[in-house]
Amino acid sequence: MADQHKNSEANEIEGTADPQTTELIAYLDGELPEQDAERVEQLLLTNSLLRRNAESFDRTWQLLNSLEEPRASGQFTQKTLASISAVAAESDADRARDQRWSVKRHLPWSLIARGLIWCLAGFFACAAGLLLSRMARSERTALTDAQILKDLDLYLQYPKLWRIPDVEFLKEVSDNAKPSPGAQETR
Amino acid sequence: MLKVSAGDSVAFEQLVMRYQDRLVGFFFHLVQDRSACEDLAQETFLRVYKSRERYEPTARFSTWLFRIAHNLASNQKRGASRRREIPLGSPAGDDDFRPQHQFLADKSALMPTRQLDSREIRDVVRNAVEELTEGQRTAVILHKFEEMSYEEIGEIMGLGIVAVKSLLSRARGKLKESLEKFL
Repeated sequence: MADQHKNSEANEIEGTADPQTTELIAYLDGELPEQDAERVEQLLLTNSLLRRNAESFDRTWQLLNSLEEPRASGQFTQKTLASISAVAAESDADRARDQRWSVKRHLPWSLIARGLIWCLAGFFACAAGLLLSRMARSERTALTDAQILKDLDLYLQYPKLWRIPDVEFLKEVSDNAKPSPGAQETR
Repeated sequence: MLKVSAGDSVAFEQLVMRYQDRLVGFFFHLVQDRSACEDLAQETFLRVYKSRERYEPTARFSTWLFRIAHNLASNQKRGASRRREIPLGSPAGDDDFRPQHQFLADKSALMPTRQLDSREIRDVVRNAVEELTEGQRTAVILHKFEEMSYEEIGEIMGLGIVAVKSLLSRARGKLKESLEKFL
């Protein structure tokens, strides 16, 4: 939209403005560099048509003085300042509301953040517990395995030993196999 | 304005008092409506207030102020044309409408010795100004009534000096054409 506006403005400007008239107007407006102004002055001295044209431009320009130039009404200043005060108060209220809103918005987030931190701490504690218990179990398994490895030749030589559940059983069998002192005397 | 930027409300009041007549006059020449021109001037001051913290003293304050005013007037005109309202400050689009200066010229031709009174002259001139395009009218008002240079007008309207020169040349050519017969 702004481009369209600029284009129409550009078209309006690019239209055929007579260069001599443009220069004459710029001279009348005091907008020509000194050298160009002197040249136009020379032309005005010699060219009566250009002189008449300049006078006509000047007189029509002076006619614009007849337009009324209204002044702001008596209440304008007060009305303007009152409306600006209202806007300022509104923006202050908006700012205060934004601050309150940001506090409200931050409150649940802080709670969520705290909860999240506690959850994470719990998770890591559980993970650490699990890890430690696994390490302890694997240590125990390693000890048992080491014992088996140590007696592996024996196990291989006597496959039946695999059937023996544990050492306690052997001890029991050994104890039972020993003759009681009373029985020896009887023999 | 620097005091206003720093939040000095007294300085802002002084600024309003100093520029209110100039702004009201600028908008009046553009829209030809007393109530609308005060509303627009008020809106301009409101915009100045809202953007006071962004103000940088790179150009004259009046240039900055009138740039805001010019943008506001342009937006208003574009908004009005989008709503298909009668454009502010332009003659109505009635086919039977005859510009007042033409009517008065015909009237004067019937009475050769008759002199136009000041009110009639004012109406004729006002109609001639209204016949200018929006850009031409703005440039004329800024140059004639605000006594701004081509450079300042260019800054306000976002144009180069050559473009302003051309704009004013065409505007004054049109005015001469419309008003010559009353000279």
